[in-house]
Amino acid sequence: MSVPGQGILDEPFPIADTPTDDEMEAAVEEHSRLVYRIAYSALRNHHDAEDATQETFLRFLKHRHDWPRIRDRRGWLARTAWRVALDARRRPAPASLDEAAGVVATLCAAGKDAEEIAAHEETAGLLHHLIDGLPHELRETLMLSMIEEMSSAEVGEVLGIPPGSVRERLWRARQLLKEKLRAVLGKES
Amino acid sequence: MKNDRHAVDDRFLDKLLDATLERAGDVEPRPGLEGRVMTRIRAERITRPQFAWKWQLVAGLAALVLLVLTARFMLRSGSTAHPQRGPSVIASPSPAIASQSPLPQVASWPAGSKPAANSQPAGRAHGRFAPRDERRVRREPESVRVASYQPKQFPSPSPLSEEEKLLLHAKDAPPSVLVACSGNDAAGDLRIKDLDISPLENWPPDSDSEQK
Repeated sequence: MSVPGQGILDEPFPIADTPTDDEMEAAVEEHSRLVYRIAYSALRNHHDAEDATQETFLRFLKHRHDWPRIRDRRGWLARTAWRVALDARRRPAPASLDEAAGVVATLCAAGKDAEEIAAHEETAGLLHHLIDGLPHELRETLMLSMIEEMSSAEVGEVLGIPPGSVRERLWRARQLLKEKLRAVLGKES
Repeated sequence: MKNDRHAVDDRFLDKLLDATLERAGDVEPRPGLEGRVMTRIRAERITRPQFAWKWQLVAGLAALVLLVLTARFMLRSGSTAHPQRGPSVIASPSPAIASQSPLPQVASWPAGSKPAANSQPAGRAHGRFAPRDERRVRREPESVRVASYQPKQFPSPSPLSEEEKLLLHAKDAPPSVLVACSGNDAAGDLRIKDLDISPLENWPPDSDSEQK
């Protein structure tokens, strides 16, 4: 079974054989998926998320002299990816809330399962629209917590808050989202 | 009944939220992300040394140009400032130095009048160097400043003779310096003729002639 990008990674490194080459390659292989997901959570665009991923690792390369002092590379990369993604973030095109809410309400009225409804693209669009309406601190916490690899401690490290605050913000964000979802679906039905 | 419906809705919304949030976070990058990242890094590492080499060359050239300009400026300013600074201008006012110096010649001015602060040096008629020379004159001691005084009249009517220069320096210089300037020969040539007074006749005068 082939791993994505494995063919390129197996090629001999054409640049100088410095010790950073292997470390860089190992870091990319180990953390690129997480970096990509963090970037995607903020950008919601595959192309932009990949650009942000590459930019994150370029910054990592520029700080190669600090590598011995970086104890938690995963945390360093997560923080950098988040900052890069926020810098590159553009205001997303306003999705048609009424249209998405109408589709989701129709699915709910038809008695579809929650998993089935969540699989629809309109449901994801509706959710992202509602997330965009959350307060800043709740929105960022929720966006980072959506990434399955990120624990509360890691989210707190990226945002600079304790893990308890992360959990408290998550609970408030879910409550607000649920109220908004109920209001939207109730209005449509 | 209404409460049951609300509870069901609440549970349903929780499930819907969980499922949607889970799906939203479960995004996979396009295949080959690691390879593309490494390719970008390699490209960056290839281009960076070239730029670094060019920047080092540019920085070196700029430093060289700056060094040459600084040295040239210092040499130029040093050649103009040197004759004014030395106190030997007063100690040995040789005519050779006075004639070679690019600085203005010492000239006399009317008694009681001081040279104007904005008077330009006689050797430089251009005004763009005047402020720098004035600052330099202000910092120098009094003895050197005397030598660099300029007359109000330009050009001076006639250059001072050697004796006039000595007289001008003698105004403020101590006697020891004057002796050193005049030299030992002058002191040796100075000779006072012995007094030769012949005795007066009929001295002391008689009392008779005094009565007359």
